[in-house]
Amino acid sequence: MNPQTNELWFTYVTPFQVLLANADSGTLGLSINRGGDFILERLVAVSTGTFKTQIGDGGISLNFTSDLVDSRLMFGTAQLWMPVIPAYRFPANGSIAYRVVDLSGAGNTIQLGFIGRIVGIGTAQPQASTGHPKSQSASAPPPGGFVSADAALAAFHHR
Amino acid sequence: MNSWLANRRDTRRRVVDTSSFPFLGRFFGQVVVFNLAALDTEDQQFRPRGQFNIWGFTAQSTGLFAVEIKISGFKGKRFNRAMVSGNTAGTAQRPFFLPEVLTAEPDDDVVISAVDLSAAANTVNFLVLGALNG
Repeated sequence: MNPQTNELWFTYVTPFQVLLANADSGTLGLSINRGGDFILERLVAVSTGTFKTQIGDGGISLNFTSDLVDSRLMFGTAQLWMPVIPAYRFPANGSIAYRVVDLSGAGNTIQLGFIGRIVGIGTAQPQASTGHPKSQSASAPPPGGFVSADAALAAFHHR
Repeated sequence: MNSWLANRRDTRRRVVDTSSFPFLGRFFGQVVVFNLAALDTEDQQFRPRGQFNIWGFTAQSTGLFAVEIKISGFKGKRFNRAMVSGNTAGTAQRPFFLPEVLTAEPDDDVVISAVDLSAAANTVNFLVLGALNG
């Protein structure tokens, strides 16, 4: 953990979802339970076949896409990750909602990775050091709100 | 905003300084799906539920296609003609970042025109990525 910013680089990982051909997992949740808000910056996934997916904030039933989307448009890999711009802030004790639907027509084993930072660990009013004027001026950012993704985008360009 | 504009004018910079990038809103992706017949042209449009600051595109298709993007509230064109998809949209691994944020106001329609170039049936998944403010 960075003691100056009280931030911890962290990845929330789904269990391996084993889908039958054309199966739909339904909406599943991944709890944000590591003692602070989670700022989602990167999306990665691995699978044995193509799939459709939709993710969102389970705490407020907010989807990040208008519909299910082909995984190749939404999830990258460790080397070439998909940036989340602006980065999204999940409140502590919230959840990441996700749904996967097989497109391959065969059995499909899928794992999603949500890479980002846990902020405000052990503090009553977590505060991200994003550099964004809005987040700097806000004394307590609202849970589930947006934050700037400047660092994520800069890192994306430099990877 | 000022440093963003300044950086845009400095074409020597290879990496854009996004420290003042006007990303207002929350991460959102609008899914647009085309089922094109051979050499067919199809328009799809959507109206964002608020101000939509678009920063990039990803796409995946079963064949080659060309695409053009228009915003109804903006009279000027962004393309003089449709451009092949490989030069307009990336993938999740390398999204296509727009040179500047494209803003669709709440009353605007975002129109995506796709043209099949494969001379066969073509299913196109197009994802418009941005920040939805509203």
